[in-house]
Amino acid sequence: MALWDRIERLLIGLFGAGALLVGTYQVIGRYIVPQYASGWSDEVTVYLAVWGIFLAASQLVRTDGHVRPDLVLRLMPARMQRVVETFNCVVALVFCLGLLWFGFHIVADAWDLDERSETVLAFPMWAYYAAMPTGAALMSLRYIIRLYRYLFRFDPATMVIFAPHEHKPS
Amino acid sequence: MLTALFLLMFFGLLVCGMPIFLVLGVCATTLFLWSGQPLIGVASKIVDELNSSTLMALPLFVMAAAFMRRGGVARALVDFAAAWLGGVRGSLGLVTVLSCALFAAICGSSVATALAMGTILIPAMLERGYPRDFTLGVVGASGTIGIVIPPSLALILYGIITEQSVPRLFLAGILPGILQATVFVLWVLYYAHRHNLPREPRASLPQLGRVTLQALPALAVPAVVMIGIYGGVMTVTESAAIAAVVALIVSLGFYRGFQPSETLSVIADGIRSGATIMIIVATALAFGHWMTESGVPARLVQFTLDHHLKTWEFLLSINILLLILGCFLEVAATLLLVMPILAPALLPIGVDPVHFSIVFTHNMEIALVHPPVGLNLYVLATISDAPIGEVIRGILPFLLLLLLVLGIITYVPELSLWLPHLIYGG
Repeated sequence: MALWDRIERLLIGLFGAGALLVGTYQVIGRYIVPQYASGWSDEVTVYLAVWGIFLAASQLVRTDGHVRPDLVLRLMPARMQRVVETFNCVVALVFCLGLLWFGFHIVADAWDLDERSETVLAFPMWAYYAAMPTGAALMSLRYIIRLYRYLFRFDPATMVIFAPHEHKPS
Repeated sequence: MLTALFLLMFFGLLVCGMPIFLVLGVCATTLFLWSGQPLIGVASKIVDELNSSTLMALPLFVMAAAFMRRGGVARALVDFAAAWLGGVRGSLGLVTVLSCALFAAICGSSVATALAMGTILIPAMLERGYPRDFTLGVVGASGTIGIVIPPSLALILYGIITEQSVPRLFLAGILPGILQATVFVLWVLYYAHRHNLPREPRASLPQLGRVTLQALPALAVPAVVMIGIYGGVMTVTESAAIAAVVALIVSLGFYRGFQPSETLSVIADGIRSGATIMIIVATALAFGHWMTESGVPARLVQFTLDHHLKTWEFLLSINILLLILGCFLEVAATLLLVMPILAPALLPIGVDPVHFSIVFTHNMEIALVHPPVGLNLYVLATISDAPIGEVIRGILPFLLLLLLVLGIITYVPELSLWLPHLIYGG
């Protein structure tokens, strides 16, 4: 688990750093040193950033960092929260598995048709599309873990959301 | 009937506390099923919408903000404002207004601003004998100014969702932002005069120079963005990339907020904050595409016409709706939820989308400090150990001022539209 986290975080950092570098290179090439100008930096920035974003989406499931309106949830008793959260996990899992399944088909089609971007780079599009099923697969795993915890390892002290001005029982 | 069922599902899922990206994704999927499209369309829509160079301005700006937050920029801005405003009565209050506005402009989130500035300014003000409720109110309210100062994340998002020009929206936000800051400054001056708040020692000339130099790198980030965009040389995305790189260099090399060895993990944190918004944007765009076809926006227009709703009545009801929604959700989330529904309805009802962007963002600011559940209130209560009631008492005068400003912004469209018209033409 810890290893999975570290690899994920490292990759997110590398993709982010890559996007920043390519983006800077583009600005330098376009406005300062024209001989470095490139026709591909725009799209590569996008590909790198999107890969980072889909990997980070998995991290966000782990830390419960996805933005959600939890006000009503906060007012519910612990048992009720458990039921609602279980429901949320199931819906999330179905959605992510759907993304994984259809995402995989999109990648496979792009591979079979040898789909390329319409620039000088002719970037193989499957490598970009693959970000989505990869992210969806990681998110599915995270949601399975989350679901398991709500079903079999429920601990109100850490898994129930409290109003911010209340103190969590320790 | 179907519309009613659909809205029921939409709000039902929200009440369950489901992540926003899921609510939008599930709703988009349902709309796909209804119209008999193959479901692979949802997935390909999501991945295709993300493949946009314009959209990448968002994660890049969020990364810039994350670097600034970690980089110890807050202190430099406070010292800068304090040195310049020292001689005035109640100067720490003015320092708060100015430095919170600057910081929020850089980092784009008023909750983060309340956190970063509050931890520095609240103890300083209490020590100088400022009443605690006033102190909390000023810190909580001042962060909200930043949302309309470029580079405003909320306005970039709005521009992407409604297909408006982002530089135009930035221009529209300037006069309302100045109006709000002026109103706050006048109130602080009046309050300081009545309660006889202390002055601070005037800074010496060399000190003034040193502190200003210290703050310059922090101020460079918004400056780079403004020059890049309005100089007409860079796209919004390119200026975002440069802003992120400048912010990284400034925090790492100048303020030394983190170690060079931490750089990769700070970047990863930046991408993570960016991902929270981007994943919602991706599903929101897929959702918005089908929202237009679902007929809900058309019904909204029909409803206002049937009930002979005037434009101002429409705006008033939207104001109220947004204030309620804003109590539950963050700015970006509310925007992504509501705008796909509202955007197609604006022009038919006679509302300028550029004007509406400012009304919208201003509404969101108020929601952040709006009792009983504004997010800023709880942040302030947590960092100051004050009961929530005291925070609310302190923020109340500012809330009234904000509502006053909202009224002016909503019913005097020229305030927002004059500058963009002047520069870009009608």
